[in-house]
Amino acid sequence: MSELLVRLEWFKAVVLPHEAAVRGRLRRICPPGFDVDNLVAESLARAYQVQEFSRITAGRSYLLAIARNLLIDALRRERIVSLDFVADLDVLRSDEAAVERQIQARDELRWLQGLVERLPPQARKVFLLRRVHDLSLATIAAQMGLSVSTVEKHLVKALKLVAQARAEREDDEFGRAAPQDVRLAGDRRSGGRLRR
Amino acid sequence: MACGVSPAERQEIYAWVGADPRHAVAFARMEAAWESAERLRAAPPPLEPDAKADLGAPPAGASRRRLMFGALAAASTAVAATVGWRLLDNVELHRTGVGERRVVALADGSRVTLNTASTVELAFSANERRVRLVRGEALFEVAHDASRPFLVDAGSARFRALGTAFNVRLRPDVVELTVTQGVVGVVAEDGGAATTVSAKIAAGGGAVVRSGAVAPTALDGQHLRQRTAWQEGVLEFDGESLAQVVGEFNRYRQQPIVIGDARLEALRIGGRFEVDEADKFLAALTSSFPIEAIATDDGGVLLVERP
Repeated sequence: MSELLVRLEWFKAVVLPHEAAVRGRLRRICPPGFDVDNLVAESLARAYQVQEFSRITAGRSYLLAIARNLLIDALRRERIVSLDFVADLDVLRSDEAAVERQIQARDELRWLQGLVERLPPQARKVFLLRRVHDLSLATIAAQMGLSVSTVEKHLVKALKLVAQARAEREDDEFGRAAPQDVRLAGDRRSGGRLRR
Repeated sequence: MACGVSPAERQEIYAWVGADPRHAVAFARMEAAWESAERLRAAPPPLEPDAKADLGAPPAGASRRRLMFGALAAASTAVAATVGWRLLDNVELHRTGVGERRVVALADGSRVTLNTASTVELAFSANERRVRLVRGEALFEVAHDASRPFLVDAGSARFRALGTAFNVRLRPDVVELTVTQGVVGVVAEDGGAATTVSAKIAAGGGAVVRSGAVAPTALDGQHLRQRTAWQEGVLEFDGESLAQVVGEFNRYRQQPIVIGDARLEALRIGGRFEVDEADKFLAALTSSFPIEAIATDDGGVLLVERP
């Protein structure tokens, strides 16, 4: 069981922070109608399963490599691969050093604040009281005149929304897209590079 | 909300997480979200919103994201129950990165000192203080409370204390216990087998535990000091092999020191170093032995016999 917890810690620290960026890149190069979210989910699941996870420290390259291989397989199955597209796949080759832009704590805080602002009012209040003000669920329930189970539901809802937003967050929300990303930001979806 | 989560329930939750990598991903996502919100403490947002758009509905034009929302929603029904005990049941996670060391003061007056690359999980309730050493090494200084035993789970070992001080280290193959104060009860759990082995270890003693076996170890003052020197950020050696010494330094380093020549591994080393002073150690090593330390491109160090 300890192995499970260590693996979870590794996954949260090394792989998961790159989910949003990998999803963003895939969206830029995948043909319209392609199920990017499913590809990302599958990539994450495979990344999680790796045998000797402790050796993997460069999460972004690792996740990109998995996504790239899955994508190639998928496209091969559909027999829709053009050479141009294979060239595009290079977007999925990561040089960790260049793309590993550390999101600054200040930006992260600002982003979180914006996110919390947009949570449904009840969920937001419960979330803040529990997470930031450390009140117990019972105290929150009494204070808001709700049942404990309702408070729980609000909390889980808030957490789900925060988790979703994190998974969807694109790098450029921080206004610091790398030059290569800017170049690739052109719309590949209508580019006619892929024959369907 | 005083409903504690029993060990059996926890077991069930972990079983669910372990059953499918997708469960694990969903679980990790929820936890990461919870942990990330820690930052909000620095600048708590107002409790009441400014009447703006709410996040409950996906933003316009995000139809391709529906799938993702759907998938997460399905997973999170199960996750909600799962995550519940961590968030709702006052379970706290504390961790250190490589090279870090941290003291965590607990509400009951106990203290946990985490060594490098370590994680503990705390779940206190009215009748017990439950801690899990997930990885690494920790020193527990337990405030006396006869009505609430302090229970530490570490790998296949379980420790029980009332008011003591002891160090637990998860080594690759064994769990290592060192008691510096009071008495600690040890139980070795074999995966599923009905037999459990137990022992009581008093201050000045130690034990190693490995699935189903507890072996008490006699320690002298020197050993005791060695095993707890990390609290001061110090590594002490007294005749350990070079392989062991390098292993100890590497716990605190992102990029390892690597012995490139197996003949060097058995060299005996003595001395006292700060954990982050590998450079001094290497300088001492290369000046006292015919050893060369070569810096590698990835920031590591390769040790070879000087030609």
